[in-house]
Amino acid sequence: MTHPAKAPTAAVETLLRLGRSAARLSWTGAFFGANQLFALARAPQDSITPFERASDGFDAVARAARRRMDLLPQLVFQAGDDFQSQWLDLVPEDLSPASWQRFTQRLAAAAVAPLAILRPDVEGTAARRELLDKLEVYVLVRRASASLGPVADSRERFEEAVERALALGDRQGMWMLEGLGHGYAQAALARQPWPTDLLAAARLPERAKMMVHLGLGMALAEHLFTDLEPDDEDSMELTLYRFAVLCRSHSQPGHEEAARESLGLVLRCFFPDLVPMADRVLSRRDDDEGRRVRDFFWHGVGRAVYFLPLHLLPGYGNIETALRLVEQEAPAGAALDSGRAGVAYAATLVNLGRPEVLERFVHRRPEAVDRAFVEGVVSAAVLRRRTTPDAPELDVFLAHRPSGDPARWQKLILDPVRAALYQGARGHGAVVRKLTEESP
Amino acid sequence: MSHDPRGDRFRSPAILAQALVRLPWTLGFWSLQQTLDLADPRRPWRQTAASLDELSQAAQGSLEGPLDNLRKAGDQLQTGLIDSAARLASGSWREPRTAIADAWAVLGRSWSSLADGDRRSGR
Repeated sequence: MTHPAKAPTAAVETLLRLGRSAARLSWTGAFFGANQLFALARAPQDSITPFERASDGFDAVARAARRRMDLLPQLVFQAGDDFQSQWLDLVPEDLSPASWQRFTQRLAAAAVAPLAILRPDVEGTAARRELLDKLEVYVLVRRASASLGPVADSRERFEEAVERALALGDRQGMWMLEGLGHGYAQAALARQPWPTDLLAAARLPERAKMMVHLGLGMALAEHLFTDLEPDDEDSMELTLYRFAVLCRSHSQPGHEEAARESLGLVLRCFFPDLVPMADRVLSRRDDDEGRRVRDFFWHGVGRAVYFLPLHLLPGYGNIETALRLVEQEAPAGAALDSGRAGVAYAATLVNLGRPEVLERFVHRRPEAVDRAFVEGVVSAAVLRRRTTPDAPELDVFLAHRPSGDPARWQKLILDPVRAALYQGARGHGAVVRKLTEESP
Repeated sequence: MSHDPRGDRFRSPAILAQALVRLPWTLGFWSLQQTLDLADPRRPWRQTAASLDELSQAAQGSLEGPLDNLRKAGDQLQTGLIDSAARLASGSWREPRTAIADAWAVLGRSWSSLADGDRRSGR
């Protein structure tokens, strides 16, 4: 007598699949551990040291784990990862007394720096305000995405939300525009992987366009670069090409470059392993267009570094830390200049209404306020004037009288900003101009 | 990240230290995410299974040779055991002959996986 085999129900099948996957992972984990030990014991091969071989294996698993995280765990993870990396970077490479002396000095400085936020003087106040303003930007961008509601990819709802954000007329409205562009594009990409004309046919007020396009670029980059491996240059080249094509097809004329600028921001925030490879691929093109795209990329990286989740830790989120990170990561030359301009641009946008934050930085590090840095400050001021012309922050910034050295503040910061705003001086605010006017 | 353009300073045990610190930190968040996914009724459990598989695949990426063959054989064996246990629990095995045939099939698959791997690696 035979009995027909019962087909498992969908629930049982899912449970079985979960059981198989869990068993496979624990089994593979044991072999992975053994393999890593062997990798360390083997001799160097093809100029790859055993340490590199083993760390490549660990990093591959870490990357796979990171891919499936929601935004919040990913941000917390990234903050912790950057935090750890920063401390590990302090470790000296050799055991000479001089390098150990440098190490202890750097360690002491790094340990004491975050305590600045507790100081009762103007430095402490500026540090606390900077942190709170940055947190507010995070909340505003996230809240704008959520405000689109369940049908976030409805163009009518999106256009109405943009109008409402612009009507606020202040810094809140400006950051919400970026969040709206991001939320709208993200929802459309989730519904269908290759939507058409995301912003190209949208009715958008001129003032809103740049911020909304920055948000569009963020959503496109998140969509395209998620599954890339950091040693697959062919895929990177193809994905960069796709990203450029999508930015062009979804953007309004003249704003494609604004969308492209967000690439550096997304890669540095969420896929930092990909930044060196993206730079290598972008550097291959040695013409004006290629150089411009690479400049935008590093500008976006600079912006990202200022907004890194790490810099939301009290005491870590100041302009100096961000500049130091960019100087470690960006190749010298135009890339570094663009990265430094990106930091200054983000810091000015966030702190425009509280000029004392920038003032304290100029007071502490006047030598760091070079042409690239000023370029970022001026670009931010130009953008604010275009996006929210009636907001009081820019006037507060221009009327600020520093407590320390007013002449230096005037010469380094105010004069270039005024020149760009009132006299239309060429060479100032070039990033914003390029992003909005000179698109090919 | 091993071929870092920042130079030779990073081609050192420091990169291994960084990777070693990063892995448990990442896996902690990953585990938290999987737990939340399992508890969230809007997310299907097969998504968690896919996530576990992705991690296994990433770990397999660096395996090669006999170690990888052994892993595959063991994977076949334990997958077969789980399926057999499910059939036993569901009452599909009412006859000893079917159970024995299934057990042989599981062992056979595992063995052929090991043999195929060895043949490919030229042993």
